[in-house]
Amino acid sequence: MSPRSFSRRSAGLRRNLASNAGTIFVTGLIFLLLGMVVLITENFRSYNRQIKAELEFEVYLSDDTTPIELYLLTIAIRDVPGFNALRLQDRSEAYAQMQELLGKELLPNGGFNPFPNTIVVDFTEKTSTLAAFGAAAEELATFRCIENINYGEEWLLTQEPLFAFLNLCSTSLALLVFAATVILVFWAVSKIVYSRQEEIKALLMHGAGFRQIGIPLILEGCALGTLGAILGELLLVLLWQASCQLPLQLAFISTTSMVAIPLSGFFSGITAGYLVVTRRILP
Amino acid sequence: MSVSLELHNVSFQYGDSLPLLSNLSFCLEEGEVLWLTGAASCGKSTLVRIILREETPNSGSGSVLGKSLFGPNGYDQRQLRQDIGLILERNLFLPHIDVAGNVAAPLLVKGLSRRRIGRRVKEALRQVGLTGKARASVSELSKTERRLLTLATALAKKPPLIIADLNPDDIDRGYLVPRLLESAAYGSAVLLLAQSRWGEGREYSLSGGTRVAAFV
Repeated sequence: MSPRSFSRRSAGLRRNLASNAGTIFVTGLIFLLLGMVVLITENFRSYNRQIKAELEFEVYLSDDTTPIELYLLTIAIRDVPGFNALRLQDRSEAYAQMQELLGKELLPNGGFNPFPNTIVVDFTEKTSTLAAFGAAAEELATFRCIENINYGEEWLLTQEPLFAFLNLCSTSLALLVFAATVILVFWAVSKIVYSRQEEIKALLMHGAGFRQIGIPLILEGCALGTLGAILGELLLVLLWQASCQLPLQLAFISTTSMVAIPLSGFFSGITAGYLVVTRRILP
Repeated sequence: MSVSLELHNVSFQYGDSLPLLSNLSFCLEEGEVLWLTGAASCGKSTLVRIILREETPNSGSGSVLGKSLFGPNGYDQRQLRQDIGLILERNLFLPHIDVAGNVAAPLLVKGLSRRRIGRRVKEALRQVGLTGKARASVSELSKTERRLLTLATALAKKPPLIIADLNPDDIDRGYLVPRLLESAAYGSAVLLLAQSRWGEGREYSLSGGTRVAAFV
C-alpha cells in the first residue's frame, strides 16, 4: 500500500539520479584534493620527523678535559629539557669514520687527527628545534672543557620557517577543502529542494515538520557527502598506486585519515543539509 | 453545538496599504456551512492565510476547534494544518507518488497507524469517485480528477473543520461543493470561500470595492 512507498520514495536518492551522481562525482574530486593534501602533508611530516630524528647536537671537548669535568658535563647534559640519549665519540673513532668516508689517501693511518672527542646528544623529536638547541647550548656554555657546540644552526634557521609555512599551508588547504565541500553539498541539497518545491509545499500544507521534511533532506546531504568522500578516497588510492610507478616513494595516508575523510564527508553533508533545511524550508 | 471557527473583529492590511479586512467577525459551528463570498482580490485567500497563521492580523482575536488562534500561545501552525481539512485554489501534490500515496500523506504526517490509513484512503477515494485510480500517477489524472484528489486528501483526515478556497470554475462548482456539503451533513464545519454562493449554507459577502468586510 501507499504509506510504505511514500516514506521510501520521499527519502529517496533515486530521484534526480543524474544530478546526484554529478554532485557525488564533484564532491569526490574535492575529497580527492583533500586526500592529496592529507597524503602530501603526512609524507612531509614523516620526512620532517625523520630529519628531526637524525638531527644531532654535538659537544666538542677540549683535549685537556678531565674525567671529573666530563662526568659533571654529562650530568648537566642529562638535565637539559628534551634530552633523550647521549654517547661519547672518541676522537680516534671520529677519525676512523672520516677515513672511511674520505679515503686513506687523505687521512692516512697514524696521520694527524684534527677531530676532538665529542659528546653526541639526541633530543626527543618534539624538542629537536632551533630554540631548544640554542637554549641547551647557552646552558652548557659555562663549562670550560667545551671547545665548541654544533647543532646545524644555519640549516635549522632556513628549514624551520619553511616547515612551519608548509604546515600552515596544508592545514589551511584542508580547511578550505572542507568548506568547499560544505558549500557544494549545500548547493546540491538546495537544488534538490528547488526541484521538489511542489512536494515540500504539499507536505508543509499537510502540517509536516522537521521529521518528515528535514530529516530526509539532511540524510540525503549526508549520503551525498559520504559517498563523495568515499569516491574521493578510491580515486586517491588509484592515484597513489600510479605514483608508486614513479620514484617518489610516497606512503599512503594513515588509517586515521582513511577514516577521517569519509567522516568529514558525513559531517559536511549533515552541516549542509541542516543549513538548507533551517534556512530555506523550516526557518 | 460547539464552535469550530470563530473570528472576532479581525482587521488586516499589508503595510501601509488600504485595509484588506476590517473588523471581520463570524462564527462557524459544527456541521454548519458558511459561504464567504466576494470578488477577486477582496481578501478571501488572505483570510485563509490568517486562519492558517501565515499572516498575523493587525487586530482581533479568534479560535479554531476551541484553541486560540493568535498570540504567542496560539494554535501550533503545524498542528493546525494536521487537524483541519484544507483545499486551496492551487492543487499541491506529491508528484512522484501515486494517487493513494497522496491521500495517505497527510495521514502519515498525522501519525495514524497503517491499518487506519489504508482504510481511510479507500474510503476517501470512494467518496470522491477515484477508487479506480488509486494506483495511477498524479500526472495521469485529468484536471477534474486532480481537484477531486485534493478533496480526497482533505476528507481522508475526517476533519472537524474544512476550509475550501474555491476556484471560480465548473469543476469546483459541480464536483467539490456537493461533496463538501455532504461532509457537513456528517458533522464537519465547512467554510467555503468563493466568488458567489453555489449551494446551501449561510452566506456573508466581502465588499470587494472598498475591501472592507461587512459582517455581523
